[in-house]
Amino acid sequence: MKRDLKIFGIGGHNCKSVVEKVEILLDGELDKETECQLIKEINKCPSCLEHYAIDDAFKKFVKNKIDRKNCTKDLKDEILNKIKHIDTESEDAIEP
Amino acid sequence: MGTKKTKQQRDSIFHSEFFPHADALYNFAYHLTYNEEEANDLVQETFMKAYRFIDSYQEGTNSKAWLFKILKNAFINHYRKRAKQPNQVDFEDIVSHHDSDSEKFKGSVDLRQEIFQGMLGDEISNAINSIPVDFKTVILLCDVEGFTYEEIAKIVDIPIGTVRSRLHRARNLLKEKLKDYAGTLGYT
Ligand SMILES: [Zn+2]
Repeated sequence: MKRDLKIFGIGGHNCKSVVEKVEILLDGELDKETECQLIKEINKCPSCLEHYAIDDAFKKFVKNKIDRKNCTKDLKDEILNKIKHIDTESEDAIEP
Repeated sequence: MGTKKTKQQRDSIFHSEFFPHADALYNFAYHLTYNEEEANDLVQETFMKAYRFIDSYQEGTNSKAWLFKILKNAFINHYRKRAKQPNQVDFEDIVSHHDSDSEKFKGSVDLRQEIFQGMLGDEISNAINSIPVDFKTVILLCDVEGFTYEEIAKIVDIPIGTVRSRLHRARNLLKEKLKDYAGTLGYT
């Protein structure tokens, strides 16, 4: 994703504009150049760095602590069995 | 729109491109509904639809996102039919009303890193389940399933900018909930 980064220009560090982009950075949605600029800015400032650390921990926490539920074998078998018996010739397919 | 496929071609696509996502689909369905029965039904319905409409699927494209979109639509159909709770149904209006630029990034919830360390899966699951479904959906798609903003935009049918702002608001809401939990558990 292309982001306009004028805010980092000549004026120097702006915590608000850095912090706004931390989530997007962690989601891997910044282009390389913007990412490098942002990381430089984050490293300049303890407050931004702390914000980054918390958001990073939070994202990992959500991903790792949510208990993953898997499709049971019974359900898989049931689906495969139904698929086997679907008669597609009689259906007029339209977009789902 | 592709040409009509033979049963054999359909089965081949189904088994190589669709069925491997069964666990991910089930996980998404389960966290949307928090109900095993409903999750089972949603996953079944998704695969039946995917198979029936396989002619509109382009082989080798993003089958996971395609299936998630079918499941999410099935969920919304059931949910809208079933739920007559006004606070839930009207929710989309509330979101668009508040989605103005000035409110997109209100600043973040004050939270310390240590808060997460003592928390269990149950606590995060309860917290996720307590936030409105539109917010829950983007968090599940982004943080749990690892979809890109572009994929989420397609699955949920909203612009990429809205994905970004909704994720931000969703995370802030979730942080608030976790902070409350942490408070009751004496972590703060
Ligand atoms: Zn700063």
